[in-house]
Amino acid sequence: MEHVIELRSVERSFVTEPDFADRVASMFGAKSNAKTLRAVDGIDLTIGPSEVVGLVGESGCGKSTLGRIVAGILPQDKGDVLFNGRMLADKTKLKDGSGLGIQMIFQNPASALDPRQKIGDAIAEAPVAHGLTQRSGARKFALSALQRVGLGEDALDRFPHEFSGGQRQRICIARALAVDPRVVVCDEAVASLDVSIQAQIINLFLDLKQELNLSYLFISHDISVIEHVADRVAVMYLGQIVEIGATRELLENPQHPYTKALLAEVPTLDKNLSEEHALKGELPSPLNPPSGCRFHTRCPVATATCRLERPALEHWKCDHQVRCHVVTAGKQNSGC
Amino acid sequence: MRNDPLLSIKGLRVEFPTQDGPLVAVNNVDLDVARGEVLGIVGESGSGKTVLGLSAMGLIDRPGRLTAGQVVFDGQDVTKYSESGWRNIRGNRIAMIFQDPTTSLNPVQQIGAQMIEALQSHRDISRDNARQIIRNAMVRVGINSPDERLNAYPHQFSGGMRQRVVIAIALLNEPDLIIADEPTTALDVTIQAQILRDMRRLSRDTRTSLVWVTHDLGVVAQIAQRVAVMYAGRIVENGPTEKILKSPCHPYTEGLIASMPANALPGERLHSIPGGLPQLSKLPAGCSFAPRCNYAASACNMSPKLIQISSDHAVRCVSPLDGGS
Ligand SMILES: Nc1ncnc2c1ncn2[C@@H]1O[C@H](COP(=O)(O)OP(=O)(O)OP(=O)(O)O)[C@@H](O)[C@H]1O
Ligand SMILES: Nc1ncnc2c1ncn2[C@@H]1O[C@H](COP(=O)(O)OP(=O)(O)OP(=O)(O)O)[C@@H](O)[C@H]1O
Ligand code: SF4
Ligand SMILES: [Mg+2]
Ligand SMILES: [Mg+2]
Repeated sequence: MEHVIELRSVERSFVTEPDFADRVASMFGAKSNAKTLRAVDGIDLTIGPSEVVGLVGESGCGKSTLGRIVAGILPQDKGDVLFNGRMLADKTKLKDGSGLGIQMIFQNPASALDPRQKIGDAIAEAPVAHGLTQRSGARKFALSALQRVGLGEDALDRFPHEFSGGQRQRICIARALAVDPRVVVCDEAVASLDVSIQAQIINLFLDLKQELNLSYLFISHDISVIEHVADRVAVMYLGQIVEIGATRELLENPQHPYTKALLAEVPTLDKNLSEEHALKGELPSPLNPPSGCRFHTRCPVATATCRLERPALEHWKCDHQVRCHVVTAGKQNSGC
Repeated sequence: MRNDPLLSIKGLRVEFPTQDGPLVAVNNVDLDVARGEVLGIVGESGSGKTVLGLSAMGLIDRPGRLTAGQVVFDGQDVTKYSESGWRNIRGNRIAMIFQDPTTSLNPVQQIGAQMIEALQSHRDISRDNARQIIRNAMVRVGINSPDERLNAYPHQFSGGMRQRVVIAIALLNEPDLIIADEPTTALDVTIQAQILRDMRRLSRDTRTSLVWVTHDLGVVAQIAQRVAVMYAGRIVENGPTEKILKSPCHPYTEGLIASMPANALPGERLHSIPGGLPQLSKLPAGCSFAPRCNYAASACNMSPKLIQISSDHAVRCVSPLDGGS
């Protein structure tokens, strides 16, 4: 099968800036305090045609960074990103329509919209520029894009600040879908919507997947949403994928100790908030990740090996891979 | 212990002028929050939850206006307050966690400096002392290595980390009332649970009142004793959380609960309430939900009042669903 998106050993680091005192000190020869934070650390991932890959993981583990790399908005430091088998060029350099093929819906809709641009113009701008619609038909085009996300004509001439948080989020969704993308990176795209509108948007995403073979990288902390939309799920922890598999298989049969803790905290209508935290200890700073398995400082089943050796992502079943010494011990590559 | 409500909103109306006439974002809302209570607010996107929260903080900006009603905080009608009166209580006795954390953090100032400012603007406190309080506040919301992180700028934090900074700032001055607008929307469930536990403890131990706006009904079930459901600027149902989530009496609430993905099979189309929120500047006569309601009848052409169906449960519907059916 041809992959629409393929990531090979992708890495991305950020250098945190030293503060003023550090900079002065380093001018006088002291060791600089600048630190490297590896936000995405060796990710291999594929997304097939009309496939939805869900991405979950602790806050700050690198999901948005990975999403931005897939969308071509942020360059990776190492590794390759392929779109339809071709190396993805830096999107900022693209002038032709091919840059529209991958769209991203951002986590913070407020900062994604130009405060001085009317909504109708914001939606029609790129489609007009790329000839997807005529300038004369732009208003109608924008209106039909807005109607798909449950907004109406009265939205066209208003400015972003006149909308509620969820309305702005839907405007961003309408704008991303208006350019006929092949792949959509959804970064908490439905988190700020009430469940009824959320349902409407998810139905829209699934319809487009069926009708137009759209593929999605779907970042969400809402496991029930992931369960509903995703064909496969990847779980990240401190920059790495620690578990990946078919959605049903992974959610019903989680293997990695982190995934298990994560699933234990999913709120439901009939579950009380337990007094006990499912995860012991605290999220280590990514500035200073633990040796060996990055989860060992909080893992309830860690062994001595876990503190020393880095586990690899290995097959547990054909449609299920896990990065954990204890889980994969003695259960190597069952023929996959 | 005092039993009068900490916050009491009466007949509140907030309007924004638009080309099509005034848009009524909050429409005759009555709401009490008891001391130490956790009140959940849910409702359709655009139904006025954020505007309601902002009006309790004195933060409705022109051209928006409070056109009727009162907001009584700890016995005082704060709608009469001047800007300097507000400055004494805002961020100090009442704190708000805003829906979009990017808008409440200054992009060109380091996180630590912003937190110190929030502390020192209300308290006479040394810088060292302030730094210690801030370090603890950061760890409390799960941000480790606070010393290195305090020098960072907001864009260097992930979405959820920014949201946690905003939560930490709201807690700094130990307010009596926290209005949290989607505070955990961008947080993974483990950190969300940690914050929910922390907030629940806070409300139990110090009788801090919390108003928790969220779309996540699971979160409501976990933290709120009572929930108010908003639709088109009005409260349409208000009562004990368990009752409302198990056997909602307003058709909108029923439709909302039926739309939860957990109530559908994976991959299948989700239920959603047909139609959309009416234009708030052109509200239909009668019940605003009638055009989308499965049960609408001719009596719904008359504006329904919020009626008390039991001592602690009120519904704005001419024929409330008989809970449990
Ligand atoms: N500054 C403004 N000018 C004009 N209209 C506004 C303004 N702020 C809000 N509104 C309108 O008021 C209504 C209520 O908005 P509010 O932000 O309170 O909704 P909400 O319930 O918080 O929705 P969400 O769940 O999407 O955040 C919306 O329909 C919105 O379009
Ligand atoms: N521009 C930047 N400069 C420095 N550090 C950054 C930058 N962007 C992200 N980071 C760091 O990279 C790490 C991963 O961030 P990212 O936004 O990808 O997390 P995330 O998984 O999306 O989290 P969340 O669920 O909270 O949105 C975080 O520790 C963050 O502080
Ligand atoms: S490798 Fe060891 S420390 Fe890491 S998750 Fe598995 S058991 Fe826990
Ligand atoms: Mg993110
Ligand atoms: Mg809001």
